Amino acid sequence: MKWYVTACPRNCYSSCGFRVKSDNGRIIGIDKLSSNIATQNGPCVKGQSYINRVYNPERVTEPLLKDKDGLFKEISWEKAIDIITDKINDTINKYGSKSIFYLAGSGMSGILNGFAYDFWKQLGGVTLSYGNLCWPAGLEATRLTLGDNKHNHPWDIENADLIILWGKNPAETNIHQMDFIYNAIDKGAKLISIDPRRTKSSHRSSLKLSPKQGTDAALALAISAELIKTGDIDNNFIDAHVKGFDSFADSIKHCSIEWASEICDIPVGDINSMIDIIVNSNKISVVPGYGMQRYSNGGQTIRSILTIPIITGNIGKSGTGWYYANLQSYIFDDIKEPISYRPDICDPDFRRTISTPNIAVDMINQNSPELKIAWIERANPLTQYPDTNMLLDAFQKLDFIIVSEQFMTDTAMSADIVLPAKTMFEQSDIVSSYWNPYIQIRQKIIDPPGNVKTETEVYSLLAKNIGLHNGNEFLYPVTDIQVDNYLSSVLSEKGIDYNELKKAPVIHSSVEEIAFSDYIFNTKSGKIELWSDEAKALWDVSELPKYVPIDDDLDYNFAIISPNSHDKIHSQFGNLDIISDHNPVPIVYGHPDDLIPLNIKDGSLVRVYNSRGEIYLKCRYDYSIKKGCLSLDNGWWMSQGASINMLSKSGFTDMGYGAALHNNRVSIEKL
Amino acid sequence: MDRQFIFDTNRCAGCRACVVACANKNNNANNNYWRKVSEYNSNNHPLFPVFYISMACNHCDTHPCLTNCPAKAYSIDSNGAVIHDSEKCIGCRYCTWICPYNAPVFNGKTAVVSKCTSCTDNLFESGNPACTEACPLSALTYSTCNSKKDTMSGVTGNKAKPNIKFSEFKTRHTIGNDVSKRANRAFIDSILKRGNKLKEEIPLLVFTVLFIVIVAATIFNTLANNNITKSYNNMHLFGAGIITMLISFLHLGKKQRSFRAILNLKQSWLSREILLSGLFTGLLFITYFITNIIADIITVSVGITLIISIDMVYLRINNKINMLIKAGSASFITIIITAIIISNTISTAIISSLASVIITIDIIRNYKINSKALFRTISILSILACNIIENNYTIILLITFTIIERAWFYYTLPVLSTQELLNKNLLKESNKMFVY
Ligand code: SF4
Ligand code: SF4
Ligand code: SF4
Repeated sequence: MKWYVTACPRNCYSSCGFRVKSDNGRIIGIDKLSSNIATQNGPCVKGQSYINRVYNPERVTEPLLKDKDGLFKEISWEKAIDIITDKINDTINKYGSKSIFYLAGSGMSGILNGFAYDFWKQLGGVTLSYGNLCWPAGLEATRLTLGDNKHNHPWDIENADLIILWGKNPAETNIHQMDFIYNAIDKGAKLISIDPRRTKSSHRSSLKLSPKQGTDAALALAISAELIKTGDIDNNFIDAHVKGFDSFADSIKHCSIEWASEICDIPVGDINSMIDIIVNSNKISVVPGYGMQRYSNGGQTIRSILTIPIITGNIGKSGTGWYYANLQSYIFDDIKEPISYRPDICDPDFRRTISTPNIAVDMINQNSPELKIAWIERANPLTQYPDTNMLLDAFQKLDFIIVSEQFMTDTAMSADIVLPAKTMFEQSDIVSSYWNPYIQIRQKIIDPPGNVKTETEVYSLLAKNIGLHNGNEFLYPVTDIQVDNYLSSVLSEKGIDYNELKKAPVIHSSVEEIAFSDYIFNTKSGKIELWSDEAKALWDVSELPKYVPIDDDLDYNFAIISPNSHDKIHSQFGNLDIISDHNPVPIVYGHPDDLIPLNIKDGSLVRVYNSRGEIYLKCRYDYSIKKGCLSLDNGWWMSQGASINMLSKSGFTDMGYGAALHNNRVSIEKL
Repeated sequence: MDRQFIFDTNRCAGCRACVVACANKNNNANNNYWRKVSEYNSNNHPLFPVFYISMACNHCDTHPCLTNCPAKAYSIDSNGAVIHDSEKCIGCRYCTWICPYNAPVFNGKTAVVSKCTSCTDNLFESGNPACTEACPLSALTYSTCNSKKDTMSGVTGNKAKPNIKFSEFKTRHTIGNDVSKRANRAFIDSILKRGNKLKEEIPLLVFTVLFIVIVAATIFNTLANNNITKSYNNMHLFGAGIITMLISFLHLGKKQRSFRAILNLKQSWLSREILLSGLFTGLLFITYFITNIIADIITVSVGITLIISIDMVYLRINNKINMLIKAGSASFITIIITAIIISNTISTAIISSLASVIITIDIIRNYKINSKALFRTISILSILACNIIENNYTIILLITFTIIERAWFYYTLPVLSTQELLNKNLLKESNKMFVY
C-alpha cells in the first residue's frame, strides 16, 4: 500500500492537490494533501468520486466502432488505427488536411496534450477553433484594465474585511475559497453576494442583491458614481496608478442609484446598504464569477465592476484585490489567455477559422475545403457548446467523427469511432491552475484498465501507421520513462525538480503573493486603465466602462441561467452513480409567483422552449430566485434528460471571442 | 465516548464530500449511504435561513436502536461506539424507524441493515473517520470534547442524547421577502409532503389488521359462548393467525435468522410482539380442543397484550403521537370492532359515536395533509352504518373500516430522520411567520 501525491486536472478553480492510496495496482483511498495550502482540507465531492469514476462499469475501455445500425461494437486497436488511418489518408488525398477539424476541450489539463498539435502539424495542419466558451470577455476586460490576469494567493482573502461575491458561487464551484471566506467572516468580515439566485455561498452574507440578467454593469457604475460623488474614494491611489479617472467620473454622472435600481430591478435601499458597507470597509476583495460575462455585454460588465476596487484603492494590498483569474502558474505557455484565443494566433500550417461562439454555423460554412472529419478529445460539444440543434446539423454534415472519451457522452454517441481515454491516474502530467498558485503533478498510479491507451500512444500509433514516425517507435512520450524524462526536462527549464514535485506542490518563484503589490501594470500606459484606447481599437467598444443593455428576445417570458453545480465540472461527473444517486435528474427552478399562474406545481413536469429547441424536465420552486428568471444547471447530458444548450444561442461577447451563450430566453409550460 | 463528531452548520455547504468519502471507505454507495446531508429550507424561502446538516450515527448515549432491536444485533464497542453486526441482523428494519436520524440503512441487496461504525478500522494516518477527514470546509470534525455539548432544539437536543457537538446556524438573513400568500401556502404543502412515511410497509399493515380482527373475533367468541351459533371457531382463527405470522416472516430480510427476533424480550417491544403473536396463535390452537373458561381467559388476555404490544412498537417509533386519540391505534380499533360484533345496541352506539368523534378530531388535526378526507368520512359512515345494518355485510364493512383506518395510520406516521426533524422545525417557523 502506498500513498501518492496527485492533483486534480479538471477545469476548476481549485485544482486540488490530494493524495491517493493504492494497493496492488488499485486505487482504494483519497485523502487531503496539506502541503497545498489552497486546498489543504482535501478535494471536493467530485475529487472524492474519482474511485467510482476510474472503476465505473460504464467506462469505455475498448475502442468502439459504430455499425450500420448505429450500434457500437468493440474493435481491436489495430483495427481502429487502420480505419482511422484509411479515413485520414483518403480525406487528405481528396480534400486536403484542413478538412480535418481538431476540437479539444478543457476536459483534462496537462502539458502532454500539446503533442496532439505536433501530430496534426506533421500531418500538414488541420482546422482549429478560436475563442473560448468560458471566460474570455472577463479575461480581456481585466487585461485591458490591469494589464494581467492575476490575484493574491487564495488564502489572502482571509484578510479582507469585505468580500463581494459578484456572480460567483464558490461553495459549489471553488469550495476551498469558501473555507477562506468563512474564516474571514469568523474574524468579522462582511460578505455581500450578488446573484439572481440565493446561492449556497450566500447563506452567510450580510446583504444579497439580485440584479436582472445582464444589468450588473449598471449596478456597478451607480455604486462607483455614488462613491465618487461622496468622495469615498482613494484619491492618492487614483492619482498615482489610474488612467482616465476624470473622463470616467464624467461619463457616469448620470448613473444614479435610482437609475440603477430601475434597470437592475433592485430596491434603492439595498444599493444604498451596499454602498454603506463598502464605505465602511478598509480592505475589499471583489470576487467576480464567469457567468455574467457570457452575455453580449460581458466584457463591459466586468470592466464596470472592476471600477469599484480601483477607485477605492483596493488593488495591490493584502486583503484586497480582484479575484477573476490567477494565471501566474501558467508558466509553460508562451502566449497566455485571452490573447491565445485570437484567430490570428495560429501556426501558419493550420487554419484557425471556426469560432467557438458560433461553432455550428462556422463548421457548416467552412469551404475550400469543407470539413469532412472531426477529431474531438477532452470535450463534449454536443452538451456544452451553444445551440445543440444547429451543432447536430453541423455534425450531420461530416463524413467521420472520432471521439476520445471515458464515457458515452452525447458527443461520444455521435461518433463513428470512440477511443477509450485515460484518466488522470493513468499517465503522469503537470497541472497548473487559474486560482491555486501551485505547480502540481498528477502521477501515474495505476495502469489503464482494459485496452485504454493514453493519447500520446494513440497519436504515436497513428503517426507510425500513416508513416510520419521517422523510424521512432514512439514519436511522442509514451512509456513511463519517456513521460518522466519529458516532464522533468520541461520542469527543470523552469527551475522545478520533478522528484520534489512528487512529494509536494511548488509555487514558482515568479508568482506574486500579493498581485500588483509592485504597482506595475502591464497596460499600454503602465497604469490601471479605466480609459482604454485598446478596448476601442480591438473591440470597438467604448473606451470607458459602460452599461450596454443586452438584447432581450421578448417573445419568450423568462431569462434562463445555467449555473455550475457542486457535483459537476461542466458535463463531467454527473453520470457517475455516486453522484447521480444524490442528483438523478435535471431540474429547472423558478419562482412560485411566476409558476403558479402558469399552473405549474412544485414537482410538475414542464416543457421549456424557444425558437432553437425544447426540453422536457421536472420543475421545482425556488422562493428566492429572481422573478422572471429560471435556472437549470449546466452540464446535464441530453441522454440524462435535458441539456441547457438545446436552448442557448450562438453569439460573441463584446470582447475576447467568448460565447455569449447566457443571453438566453425561454418560455415554460406545464405538460 | 472519548471522541465524537463536532459539526458546525455555519461552515457546511452541503457538498456531500463526506458522504462520498464514507462510501469510498466503507463501501456503502448505491443508495445505501451511511452519512446523509439534510437541508433546512431547501426551497429557499426568503424568510428563513438555509443551512445543511451532515449526519450519520451519533453513537447516542441512550441508543434507541440497540434497545429496540429485537435480534440483539447492536452492541457498544470499547470506544463507546454503537456497532451494528449485520451477521446478527434479521432485516426487520425496525431500527431504521426508531433512530431519530435515520442512521441505520437497510440494504435491499444484502437484506440487512448497516450503519456508521465511526470508522473503527481506520484507513488514515490521522486516525480520523473518513468523513471528517474529507470535509473541505472543516464543518465536520471528530475530536475529544469536554465542554457541555451544544445542541439544536428538536434536532440534536433530544432524548436519544446523541454524542455530537453541534453549532447552530447564526447568520440573520437579510433577503427581501416578496412571496405571495398563495406561494406561501404551496411552501407549507411542500414541507408536509416531503416527510418519510411508513406508507410502503404493506406486510405490516396486513399483519396488524389481521391480528386486530382475530383478537376481536376471539374476544367475541369467548363472550358470546353459547348464545349465538358461531360462524367460525378457534381453529379458523388459528389458521388466520398462522397465515398472518407467515406474512410477517416473509417480510424479514433474513428469514433463516428469524429465531433471533425474540432475543431481546427484556427491552424490545418488537421481540415481545413477535413472541406474543406466536403464543396467542398457539393458544388458539389449544383452546379449540380444550373448552375451558380459564384457557379462554388466558387466550383473550394474551390477545389483548398482543394488541397493546403492537401499539407499543409504533409508539416507540414516534413517541410524540398520542396513541389513544390516534384513530388508527390497534387497541382502539379492537375495542370498536369487539363492541360492534357483540352488537349490544347501547354499548355499540356509545362506542361507535365516540369513534366517529375521535376520527373526526383526527381529520381536523391533520387537515393540512388530509387530501384523502373522503376515505376517513367513509370510515366514519361505515362505523355508524354498523349500528343500523345488522347482517353478514356488517363484518365486511368493519374489516374495510379497519384497513382504511390502519392504512391511514401508516400513511401519516412520520419516520424520523434529520431531514424530518428539520422539516418539522421549518413547519413550526412557517406557521408562526406566515399570514394567510
Ligand atoms: S473538481 Fe475542483 S474542487 Fe473538485 S477535486 Fe477537482 S479541483 Fe478540487
Ligand atoms: S463535506 Fe463538510 S461541507 Fe460538505 S456536506 Fe459534508 S460536512 Fe458539509
Ligand atoms: S465515521 Fe466512518 S462510517 Fe461513520 S459516517 Fe463517517 S466515514 Fe462513515
